[in-house]
Parts: sequence; C-alpha cells; structure tokens
Amino acid sequence: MLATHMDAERRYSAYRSEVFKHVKETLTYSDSHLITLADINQRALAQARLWATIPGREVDFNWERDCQLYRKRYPKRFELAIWYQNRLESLALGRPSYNGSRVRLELVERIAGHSYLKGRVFLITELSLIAYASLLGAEEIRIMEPINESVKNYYVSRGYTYVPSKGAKYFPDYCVKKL
Amino acid sequence: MKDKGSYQERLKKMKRSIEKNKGLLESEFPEDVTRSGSPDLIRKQDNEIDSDTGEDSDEKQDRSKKS
Repeated sequence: MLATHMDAERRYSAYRSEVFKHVKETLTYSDSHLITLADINQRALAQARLWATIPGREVDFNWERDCQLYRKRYPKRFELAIWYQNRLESLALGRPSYNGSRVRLELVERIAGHSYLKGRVFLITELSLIAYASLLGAEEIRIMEPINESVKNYYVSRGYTYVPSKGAKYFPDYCVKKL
Repeated sequence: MKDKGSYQERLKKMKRSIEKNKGLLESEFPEDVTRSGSPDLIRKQDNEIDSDTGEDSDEKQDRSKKS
C-alpha cells in the first residue's frame, strides 16, 4: 500500500473515531451505555460471518469477502459497526463523492432475527453519516436505494428528497438532503 | 475545489450538526427492515466508475440532468 494511501487510511479512521465518540455521547437511550460505535474491524467481520446462518437473513452479501476491495479502494469511506455489548448489531458502508461535496450511504445491514436495537441502528447510522459528512465539509448526504416504500417514506418525512432511478443498474434511486 | 475550512472549523460544524440532528434518534424507523442500500453498490467494479472523472453513474446522471 502506498504511503499516501496509508496516511489517508489513518487520517480518515481518526475522523470516524471522532464522529463515533461524539455521536455516542449524544445517545440518551436507557441502554446507551451498552452501545458501541466503531470501525469495521476483524472482530466485526468474524461475527458478520455468522449472519449467514441466521434464519430469515435476506441479504446476499458476505461482509468478510465482498467489501474488501471497497475498503481498500476508498480510504475516505464511511464505515460503522454498531455493537450491543459483545453482539454485532449492524454494519454500514458509504463514501464521499469524487469531489467531496456529498457523502453516500451505500449499504447498511442489521442482524436478522432478534436484535436489541432494530430500527435504532438505522437512526444511529444516519446521525453518524451526517456528522461524518459535516466533518469532511460535504454539503449533502445521499441514502442510496432505500429498500422499500416505508423506508423511503421515513426519509422523505425527515426532509429528504426522493430521486427515482433512471432504470439502469448503476443509476440507482436515492434520498438526498442538504446539510 | 471549494475551500472546506480548517479541521477545527469542520470539527465545530460536525458538533453543531449532531446537536441539530440528534432529535432523529427518537424517530421511528421501520423495525422489520434489516437492510437498506444495495450490496451491488459495494461490489461495483472499477469499470463502472468513469476513469477520467472518477464519477459514479448517479453523479453523471446528475450532470446530464443539469445540462
């Protein structure tokens, strides 16, 4: 790995740590002391490996294998693992645009079946994304491919604008909000 | 490229954005949803990103709408 790439990895990992620290301090749930926000480390990937065995998991994605290239390619990425005590509850990935003016959330998955946090992981992820985008000086965030109408309606009710897809595979729909 | 301000300025902006948006933590997100976004966006290969501009397809879509 080039020295410049390693430097970017370190710098943006530090930025994410700053975001996670401040978002965690903001949580006021009664069980907030049991929630941890962190980068996607080996421990998270090891637990995510077990997600494939959970009945009802609908996502065809191997976190350990399928995001390696993405994480190597984008040192400025947004990534987030949310833990409840020692249990991995969700993983998320996103990245700034080429010119840094916006940050996109590309995938977030929470553990299927029993979850201590359920919808809250998406809320915490959203706040963390907003904070990260602000720290990077971005002007806009995009939630890519909201999975269904109720998710789309949630974001629209929170002031996002829905932009439909043109139909081609890599012209996805998304919800967008100015910061 | 637009000046995004010093790191300290951006740190203050980040803290303000958290304060301004912390109310969303009390929102109701659909509890039956286990995923949003797409694995395909993560798996997207280099040839789906424009090698000249580094743009993604949705960014190119935005530019073509404006022109």
